[in-house]
Amino acid sequence: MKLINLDNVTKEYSDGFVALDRISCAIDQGEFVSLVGSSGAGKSTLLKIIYADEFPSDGAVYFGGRNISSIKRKILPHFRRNFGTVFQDFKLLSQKTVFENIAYTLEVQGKSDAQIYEEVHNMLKIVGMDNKSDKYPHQISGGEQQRVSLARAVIHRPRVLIADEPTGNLDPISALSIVKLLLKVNSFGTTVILATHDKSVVDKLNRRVILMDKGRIMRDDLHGKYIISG
Amino acid sequence: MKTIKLARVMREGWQNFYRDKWLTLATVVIMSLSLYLIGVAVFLGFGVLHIIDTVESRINVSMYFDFTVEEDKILEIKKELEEKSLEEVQSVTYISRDQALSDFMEQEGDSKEIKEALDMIGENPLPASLIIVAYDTVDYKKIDQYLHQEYSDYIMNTNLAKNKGVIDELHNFITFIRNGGIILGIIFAIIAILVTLNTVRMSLYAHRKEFEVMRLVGASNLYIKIPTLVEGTLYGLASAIVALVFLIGTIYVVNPFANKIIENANIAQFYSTNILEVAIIIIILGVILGFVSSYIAVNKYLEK
Ligand SMILES: Nc1ncnc2c1ncn2[C@@H]1O[C@H](COP(=O)(O)OP(=O)(O)OP(=O)(O)O)[C@@H](O)[C@H]1O
Ligand SMILES: [Mg+2]
Repeated sequence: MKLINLDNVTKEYSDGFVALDRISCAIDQGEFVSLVGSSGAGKSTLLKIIYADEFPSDGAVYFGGRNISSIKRKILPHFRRNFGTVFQDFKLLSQKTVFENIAYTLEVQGKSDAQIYEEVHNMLKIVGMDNKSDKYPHQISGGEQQRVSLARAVIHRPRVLIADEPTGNLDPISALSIVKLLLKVNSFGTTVILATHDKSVVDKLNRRVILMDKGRIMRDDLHGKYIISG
Repeated sequence: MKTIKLARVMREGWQNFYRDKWLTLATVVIMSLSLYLIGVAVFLGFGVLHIIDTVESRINVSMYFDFTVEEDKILEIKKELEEKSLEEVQSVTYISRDQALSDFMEQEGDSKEIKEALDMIGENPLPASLIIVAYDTVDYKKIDQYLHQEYSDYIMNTNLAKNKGVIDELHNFITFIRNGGIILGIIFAIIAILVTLNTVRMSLYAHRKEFEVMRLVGASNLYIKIPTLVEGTLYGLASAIVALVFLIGTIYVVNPFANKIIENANIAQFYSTNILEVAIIIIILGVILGFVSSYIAVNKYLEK
């Protein structure tokens, strides 16, 4: 069985809007999957379903063979530690420094201060932010914020990295550096699921591409290109 | 859960408190104003009770004896009044004729006319007396009746008649102040508590988005809650201290005026002996308010 399995998943929001319509797909450990499709196609919804921020109204999602719907609310924060998430708007904690933002992920898991210090500094070097560890988010650029956000998402070595339009707010050069980091993370064995509108990114990757439209999967190519058309 | 390190979440709460300086300032200003109002209500209550005590202790009824009554007999009556006959009596003081005269002289100063007048009379014109203080102002009437009934043979007169109007009025006034003060205090306190609850709620509203992010990176609800409670408690503590500083300032400003209205009431001195208790009340109240408000707020923002 694959790491993530979606079995005939439908998501109907509380206002009756059907964002996912009977979706089935499987993603294996270590894969790099790009999720493309026009705005409103249901990409973000699909990601939320995978990291248990939303739950299917019909069908089932399995993670490591376990039905996500059966996970108790109390255990959810622990379950989410299997994932790292990166978003277009970075979602950094504004009252914490670069170092503290990354450290937070480890702090909530009860790691020791010494261990946190070492791991965070190593990570800061990897994302090229080790000279700005004491800055607050508003003191650094968007590209830098996204690198911090990415560092925070992977510092605890999650099995899956979810990236929802991580390059959406960035200039091409910054975007490229983020994509390189995603590939690096993937090369360590982490599954990466990337939702994006960025054609050049997808084309360059030459990895699996899932094309969505109106809540359904239209194409699923192992070495796909960014194609959105009829 | 074992993974929560106490020192860590305490530090987290402290950071929330001191890093977001504007938010903290705004919260503490409003909250300390509320606590200050509560403090004023408490102080007014204490102060009024103190003034009432002071005034009441100055009310008394004097029982003047015929010149023919021996000192021994007067002391005997004093003993009776103290020991058995009337439970309403708080204290009885004996003023001898000589004592009365010297008190009188002292009061009037060394005025020539008075000396001459006394010389003309040739003997001490003042009667001996017992000054009786009751526990409660309402009892003077009863005490007075009792004195006339039991000791009419010895008594020249009593001075209750002279004081009666004042005593009755004072009694009504005291009752009015007490009841009014209690109601006012309760209203004050309720308003202050509501304002505080709302202020902390608004402040934590600013954190709402951050709570979501924290959960996203795997923080359990408890890990988010504890720092927030620490933050709320710190708001309460800081506000209590600010409120106290202003309260003490207020007392020293108001004291001279209070003393003008009621002689020798010395509010400041009274408060300085009670300040510790009031300080403890305000601080505990601040801490509880901060804690409870943040508890309510964080639970609200974490449920989803
Ligand atoms: N909480 C919600 N309640 C109701 N409808 C929602 C909710 N969230 C999303 N939708 C709707 O579901 C559809 C899919 O949304 P989703 O965010 O998954 O799209 P997307 O593919 O990520 O789009 P974009 O590329 O613009 O980010 C949209 O039409 C959106 O309006
Ligand atoms: Mg989206």
